[in-house]
Amino acid sequence: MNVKKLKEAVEILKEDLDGALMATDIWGTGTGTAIAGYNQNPQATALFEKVTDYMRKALKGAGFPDLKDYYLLEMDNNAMVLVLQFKEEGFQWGILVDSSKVNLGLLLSIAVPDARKAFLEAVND
Amino acid sequence: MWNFFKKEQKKSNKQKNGSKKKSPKKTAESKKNKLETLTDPLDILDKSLGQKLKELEHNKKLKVKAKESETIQKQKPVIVKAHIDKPAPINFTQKKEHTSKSKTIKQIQPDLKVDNEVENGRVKGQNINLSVIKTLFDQISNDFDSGFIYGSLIDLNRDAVIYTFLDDSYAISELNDFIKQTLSLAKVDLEKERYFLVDLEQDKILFLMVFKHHYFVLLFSAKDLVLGQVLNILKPELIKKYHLSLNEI
Repeated sequence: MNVKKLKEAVEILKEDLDGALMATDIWGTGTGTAIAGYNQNPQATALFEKVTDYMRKALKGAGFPDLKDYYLLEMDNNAMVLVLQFKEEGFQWGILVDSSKVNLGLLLSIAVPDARKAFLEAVND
Repeated sequence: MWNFFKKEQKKSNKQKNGSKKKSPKKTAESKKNKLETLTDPLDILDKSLGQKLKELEHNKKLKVKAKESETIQKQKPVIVKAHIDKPAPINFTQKKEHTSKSKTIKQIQPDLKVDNEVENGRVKGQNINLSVIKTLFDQISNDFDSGFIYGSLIDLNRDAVIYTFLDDSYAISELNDFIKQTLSLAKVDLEKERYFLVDLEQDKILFLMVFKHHYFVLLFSAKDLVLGQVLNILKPELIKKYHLSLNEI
């Protein structure tokens, strides 16, 4: 893992979201401990680690296919949480954005692919 | 006298025979004519040309027929392709078609009781107008076509299925627990509706629209789905029709 590139990945996300990024955390699945982030919130990291776990169990139990690349949850006060999944690498990336400042198209079509690419480069370096 | 008579008789006989037999001159002439008709080179040529022409015409006809059948054969795949390209008429009352499409997903027997006891067009105890919900699901099916795989409306508090679109049944109570736990953990206020958008394996997208007492479960094929349509068109429609079904509008 290249820590410098990991920090760069967070910076790329910040730049792409242009002021809409409220907080972000990258953590290891299973451990719930962050390895990088911005306005980091360890409680949120632990919470979404649990939410992902619940979701995967619920999907399996309900007979739906498994979680793939991400899930999105609408919160209070225009906040939106996007949790990216890196199943092979064993990481998750939680992104809290102000949905009034960024549209979903930009988030899912530009910011997320850029961030994902930068993160995978950091992990595989 | 007798001799004369005989002579005369012979003469008359000769005359009779002569009239019966063709004269040698005439026979030769007719033979000559016959020969001429048979051996006239122009006539032969004419006949053979006529036959040749007939043959050629027949061959031409055969060739045209062969060409026609060839072109028909060549055109056949185009016709078939046109049929394939032509979108099949969608009959949303035919639930089997949709069912078979989503058979790749593990199917589990429904674990929730279907609360469809209807009184005056409304679900008893729920006060939900079922015809509004039914129309809503029909509309989603029309709008998203084969991209819409499954949908249901669930009572969040009583763990009961109010309405299910298409025959597939999933163990929805598992989702109930997840929604309740997640919303309580995240301290999300359900006075305002919330949604979950989940990217699933097998090219599926799960959209959960959660209200205070109920939630919609909608499963789509990610291949044919435009997310903007779900969030900008479908979401407001779900909110509007849900409140309409409660007679809140």
